Formats: sequence, structure tokens, C-alpha cells
Amino acid sequence: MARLLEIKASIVRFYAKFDTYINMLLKFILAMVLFLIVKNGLGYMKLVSSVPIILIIALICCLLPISATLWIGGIVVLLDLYSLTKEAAIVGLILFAVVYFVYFRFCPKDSTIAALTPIMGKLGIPYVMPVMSGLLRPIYSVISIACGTIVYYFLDGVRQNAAMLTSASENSSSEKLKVLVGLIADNKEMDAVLISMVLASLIIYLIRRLKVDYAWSIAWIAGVLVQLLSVIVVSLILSVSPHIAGLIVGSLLGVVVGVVLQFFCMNLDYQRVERVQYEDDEYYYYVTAVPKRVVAAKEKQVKQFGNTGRIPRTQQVPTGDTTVLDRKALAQELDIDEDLLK
Amino acid sequence: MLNEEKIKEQYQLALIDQKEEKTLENHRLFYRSDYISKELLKSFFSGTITFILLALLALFRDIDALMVKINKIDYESFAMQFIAVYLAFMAIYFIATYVIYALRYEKQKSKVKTYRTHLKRLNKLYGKDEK
Repeated sequence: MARLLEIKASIVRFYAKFDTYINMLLKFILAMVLFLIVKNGLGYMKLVSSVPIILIIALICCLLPISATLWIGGIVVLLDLYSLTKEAAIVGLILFAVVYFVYFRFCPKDSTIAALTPIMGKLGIPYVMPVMSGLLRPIYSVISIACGTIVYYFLDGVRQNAAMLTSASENSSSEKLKVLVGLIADNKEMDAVLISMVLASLIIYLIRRLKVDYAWSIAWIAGVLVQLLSVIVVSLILSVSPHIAGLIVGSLLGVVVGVVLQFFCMNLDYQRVERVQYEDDEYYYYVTAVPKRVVAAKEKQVKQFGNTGRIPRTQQVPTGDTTVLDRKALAQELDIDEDLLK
Repeated sequence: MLNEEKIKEQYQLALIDQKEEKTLENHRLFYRSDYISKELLKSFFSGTITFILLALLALFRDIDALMVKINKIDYESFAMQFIAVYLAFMAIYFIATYVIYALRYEKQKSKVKTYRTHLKRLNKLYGKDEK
């Protein structure tokens, strides 16, 4: 454990030192993965689907806030949909507008969650997201998970029905619109995943906020279990077959994410809990203090060789006000009145 | 001579000033009720637009059936139904707005409190210097 804590401390120190560059790199990776997934899944417009263009867009995204990645991603997707059919672009535009008015209205700072949800959906492990949002974000982050899930299922549906949507001779515009809206409105698999993810996210959030020992551990364990059960139950109710492999892998990864997040963000030592009671004129206080697990900072040992003529720091008598001492010494050195340095 | 304590406080203040500019502005300009009312008003417009967009998607879904039945529709009851659904949607949208922005205001309060604490400490340090 001590070794892990040392590694954590060094990672935190490293991040603190290079946070600007690391954030830019992470934004670049996120944008790159997002656009590559869009390219492989949709990629109907060659202009925005070539790797050099994606690279340039991702480089631009790393200099902008994460919400800009979502905006640019939305535009790229709409261009791809427009290249496929106008109907897909119209429905996509309306869907994005609805997402805009819901997501940007209620949780505009959850861009990372909103961008990661479709990515994880494409990788077949959307079940990781509730653990992430429930442990780290406020309760209304479920909205970004819901928006990300809906967008993912819509785009995945477009990809699967691309051949039917492009055969203009067979289908009229109204039929295409009907199919496109049906991708969201009649998608029972999406409903099952959406319900279970929202439920798991809420449960994780509510439990981790409880004032009980091991709240975070209980939260993610309960969340993962509820998610597993709810996917199965809701799928049975809606008569759809869940992707069991994806569900199990996603849940296991959820456990890993829970452990890692807890280690970095809420690593508490419940064995050394201290409970204190005291009062002042107006209140009586019951305080529970839970110590964090941290590595004790190593004391620096200064070795002196030979007689340097200086008193070792440990033998120096503390004066209390070092500012005054410095000022006096400086005034003497410069041979001026001490008040001039105030 | 540089005063380390003062620099620490100034740094904290600048950090909050930069990151939480909107939060500080909100708390300077609005009481809780005013803040939530302002957001509810914004939600009225965004909620209405969202509802229209969703209605449009619903129209796309049933456009063929609607064209067939267009002459047989009882417009009065249709309008009543439409308004009822709109009101129900807006009620949910308003409740969500109220809950989220009330929570957000409370959360912002703690940030403003931290800001004020740093401000008081800095003021004290300046007071000491003047003495």
C-alpha cells in the first residue's frame, strides 16, 4: 500500500507540475478518439473523414475547452449525416438541438462525461460511465449520460440502416424520417441501457454522499450490482436481449474504475477515525474526522562538509519575525535607516 | 520585501476570481429567489423550443398516418391534448430547473464563503502592515 501511495503522490506531483500540457494531451486524445470513431462509424463525407483533417481538428480541440470538442463533433456528425441523406441530417439536427437545450441548460460543465458516453458505448462498455459520473460529478450529471446514450444509439442506428436510407428509389422521404425517429423512439435496447445507467448513477451518487464509513466503496459496489440487475430486469420487461458479454466486461471495468477513482480521490483510513464532541455558546458539535491515507513526506537531510562558519539550522534560535530580521540585516548592510525598507 | 502570506491569499483570490467569475457575479447580483426566477424564465423559452422540436420529431414519426386522418381529426380535442402534454412537459422542465439551480446556488454559496474568508485574511494582513 505504501508503494502505491508513493506512486500516487508522484503522479499527483507530476500532474501538478505539467497540468497544462497533460490537460491538452488528454483533450487531444479524447478528440482524436471521438473523431476516429465518428469516421469509422459514419464517415460519409470524405472531406471531414480523412485522418489528416481529423488530426488537425483534434489539435485545434486540444487548445479549446472540452465543450468545443462536442460542438465540433456535432458539426462533423451533421456533415456526415448530410452526405448520407438530407433526412438524417434534419433528424440529427433536431436531436442535437434538443440535446443542446437539455444538456447545455442543466449541466454544461459535464462535457467530458457527455463525450465519453458515446465513446464507451461504441467500445461496448457504456456501463463504466455511471461509476465515473456517480462518484465524481453532481447528481444532474445523469442528464449528460442520458444525452450521450441517446446520441450514440441514434448514430449507431443510422450506421446500421445506412443502406436502406440511401436507396432513394425504394423509400420516400416520410418513410426515411419515420425510420430515423424510430431509432430513438422505438429502441428498446436503448431504453434498457438508459434506465439502468441512470438508476446506477443516481444510486452511486446518493450512497457516496451518505455519512457512513466506506461510503464510496459501498456506492460503487451497489451501483455496479444495481446496474447488472436492472439491465437484465428491464431487458426482460421490454423483451430485448442484452449484450451479456458487454454487460459483464463493462461491470468489471466499472469495478476497476471505482477502485482507481477511490484510490485517487477519496482514499480514507477508516481504522483511524476520530470522533470529537465540543461546544461553544450557540452549538454543540459532533465531529467525525477521517484521516486520508498519505505518504509521510521524507525529511531532507542536509549534510555539511568542513567548517562553513554557519550555525546549523537546527541550532538556530527562532526569532518569530523573520521579516524584521531580514530588514534589519539589509538596513545594516546598506547602511541606511531601517524604516526606509518598510 | 515580499510577504509570503499575502501572496498566498492573493493567489487564492485570483484563482477563484478567474475560475468562478460567474459564480461571484451571480451572488453579487441575485438573491436565491431572484436567481432561480431568472433561470425559470430562461427555462420557459428553452423548454418551449425543446417541446416544439420533440413535437416535430413525433410528427415525422407519424406523418403518414396523420396525412390519412387529417380530415377526420377533431381539432379542438387535439389542441386540448397538445396543450395538456405541453403543460406536463413544462412542469417537469420547471421542476428540473428549480431543483438543479437551487442545488447549484447552494454549492456556489460555499465558494463565495471561501472567497470572503480569503478576502478577510488579506484585509487583516494589510491592516497589520499599516500598523
